[in-house]
Amino acid sequence: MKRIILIIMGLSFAGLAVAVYLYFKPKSTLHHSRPDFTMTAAKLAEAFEQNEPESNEKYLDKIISVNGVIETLDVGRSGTASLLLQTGNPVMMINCELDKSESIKAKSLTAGQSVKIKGRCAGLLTDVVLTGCIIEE
Amino acid sequence: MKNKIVILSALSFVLINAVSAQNKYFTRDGKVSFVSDAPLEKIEAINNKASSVFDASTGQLEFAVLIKAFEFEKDLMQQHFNENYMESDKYPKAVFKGTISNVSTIDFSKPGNIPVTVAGQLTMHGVTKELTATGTFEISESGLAANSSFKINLDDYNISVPKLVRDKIAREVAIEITAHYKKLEPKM
Repeated sequence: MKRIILIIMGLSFAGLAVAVYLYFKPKSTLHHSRPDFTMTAAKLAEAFEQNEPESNEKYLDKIISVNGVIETLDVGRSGTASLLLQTGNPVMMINCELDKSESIKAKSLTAGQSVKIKGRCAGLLTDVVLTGCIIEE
Repeated sequence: MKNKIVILSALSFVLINAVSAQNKYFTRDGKVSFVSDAPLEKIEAINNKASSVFDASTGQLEFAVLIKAFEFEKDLMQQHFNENYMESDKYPKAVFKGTISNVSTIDFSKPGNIPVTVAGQLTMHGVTKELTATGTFEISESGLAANSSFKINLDDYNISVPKLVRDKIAREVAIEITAHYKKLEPKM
């Protein structure tokens, strides 16, 4: 009888520990995540341009690795750095919000440079937006 | 005679477009943040990827954010926000379309801070509601910046808060917006 009580207490405690861990878990980063898709910036923009609902279905929340040429760099007005990647479409580019850990790396990049970035797809506004981006080189 | 009218209309059309193109401002990195201050918990999130267009000739202002681009401090909060409250897979964006009511009184070439009122509609979570807010336009050499703070009621947008977490999530949420606009190059 006593053993059963101890087991139940043990399990409850473990369950509670997991819940507390999940609750207080800070933002995870994509450093160790494998991309769900790999493509050029142009291809990603084309997909959203041709069919936004279908692209939303396919790409929202997924980790996408894009390679492209940097149009502009914005280093930390609001504390976060971001990159705009050219897509061949002057109106729709890939807007990558970089993870805080990448701010230093971002400072060494320049417009016109080719980069490979992985980020989570948030959807389409004027540009396709990726968040939590990590520079892959 | 008919030809002259056609040419005149075409010319006016082109000129009007050229003029209004001169007066359009745009940003793709606007900031939208919100705070839900409830008895048990304070929930905050920031979105740094708001897209906005402002037409100084007509006063029309459009602001759009992707719900999935709101960043929270904790993973679980962000997950609940997207999956349970905003249902962002179904409704990926929140869009505001409105007009700056006092736009005709503003001289955009003169540096200064001008209080503004914007009235329009906010579409969020599949619901469209009228929204009026006050804010400030900051005109300087570097361009046009806009700030605004306002409150929205979650109930208005069918965002349901389960009784269990009612003490953790405020029904009224305070929203703050900051945008630094760049003038759009005329397409001509």
